[in-house]
Amino acid sequence: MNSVTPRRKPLRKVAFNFGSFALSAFAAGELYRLTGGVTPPSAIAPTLVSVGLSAAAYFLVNTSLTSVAIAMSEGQNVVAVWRTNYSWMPVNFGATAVQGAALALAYQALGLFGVFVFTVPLGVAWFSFRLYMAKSTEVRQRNEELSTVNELLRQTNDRLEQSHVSVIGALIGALEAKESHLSGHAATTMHYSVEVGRTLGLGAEEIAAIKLGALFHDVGKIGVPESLLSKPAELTDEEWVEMRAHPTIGASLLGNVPMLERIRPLVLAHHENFDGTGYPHGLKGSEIPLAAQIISVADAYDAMTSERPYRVALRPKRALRELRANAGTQFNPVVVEAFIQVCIEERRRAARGKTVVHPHQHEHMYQQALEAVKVAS
Amino acid sequence: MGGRDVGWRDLGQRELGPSLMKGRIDLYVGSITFAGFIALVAASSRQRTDLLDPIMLVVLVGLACLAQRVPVFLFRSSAISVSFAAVIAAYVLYGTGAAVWVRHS
Repeated sequence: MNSVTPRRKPLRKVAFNFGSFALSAFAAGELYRLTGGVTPPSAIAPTLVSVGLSAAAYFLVNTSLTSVAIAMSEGQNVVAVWRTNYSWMPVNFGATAVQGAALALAYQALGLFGVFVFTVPLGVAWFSFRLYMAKSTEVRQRNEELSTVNELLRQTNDRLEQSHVSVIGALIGALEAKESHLSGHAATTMHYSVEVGRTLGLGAEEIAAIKLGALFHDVGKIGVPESLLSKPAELTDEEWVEMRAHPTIGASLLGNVPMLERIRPLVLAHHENFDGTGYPHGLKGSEIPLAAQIISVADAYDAMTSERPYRVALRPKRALRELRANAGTQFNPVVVEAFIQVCIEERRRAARGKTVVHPHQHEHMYQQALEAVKVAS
Repeated sequence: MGGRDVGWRDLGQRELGPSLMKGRIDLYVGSITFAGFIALVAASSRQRTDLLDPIMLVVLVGLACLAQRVPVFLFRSSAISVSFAAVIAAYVLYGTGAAVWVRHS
């Protein structure tokens, strides 16, 4: 049947199959007889034992002959070919052997009716399994389609991420251009904020958020007139009102960039004071995000130690004293202590001659932002 | 089992390549075919025809053909047929000769 359907096979293949099938069936039949199998069958137990042995003989002869042919034609090791192709089959084969023996016993006991009774349920089971396999194949095809769609979505997501990163680059560029007289402020704030975050034992995601929050904390100054930012004197009350709008402006700018949405609260709250006297919402204590409290301290320190159009820079020691003096009112005392610890550690490292990356040398804010976005997202 | 019993790695279902046409492989295939022919003749000559139920034999041949023709395809790009069950039933009921005949159906 297999030689001509579904298409006619080459003569050599037909000849090989003829020989291997004959030898397999012969070996099995003879072994059945030699191991005490009775024809026609009598008791069930000895019949099953003989069937088990003869079935094993059939399987070994059939698969070995075919493995040799494959190994010869493909130049492979016979055992390797057998293992690859047939080592998973003995269980299925054994089950089939039991079915064969049961079919014979059913015929022996009930005649053709026994064959009918035995075969029909098997046929139904086979048909059900075939339907199941067809359905499974369909499900697998759907899964493959879903995988393809997922891959497309992933690529689209990557492109979207690149687009967001471009937006970030543009924002940073605009901010740097706007604050050319405050060169490196964002980078310095980021450096100290990250170190304080690490000192406080924050996780990678929180550090990434701090990094981005520190970089963008003053992005709202884009909406503040240039004349106020570079005014060489103290601001008036009206001007302070305008200046104090920058956290709100920054937060609403970031609200338009989904990937930066999570740092929006940090930007909004970086001028809130620990005792509730800050702006824009007068939050206090734990109402202020910890990251914003950290950024606030780093921001204030860099502001104090940098030259401004309206005042000279404070020395680091003096700035640290100022921070400590305002701990518990303007700043979170725990954060201030961590900040001082970071500064002391940096000074020690510098004294030991170890390289300390000066905050103002951080020229690679864009790269930092990219890395932070990847972690934060 | 046989034919598709051994999955797609069976000679009846796959290309063995041009090398099959020559030399050692030809010799191997020829030897197997000849040995199989001897087995068929030996088994047939010893087959007791008085034991045979022609209707059951036809049923077994039919089952073997049907099982061979409609194997169950598995996930591993392999297929299993239960035609071997008919072969077993044949030698259990009638002896080796009947099994070889059913196997060649």
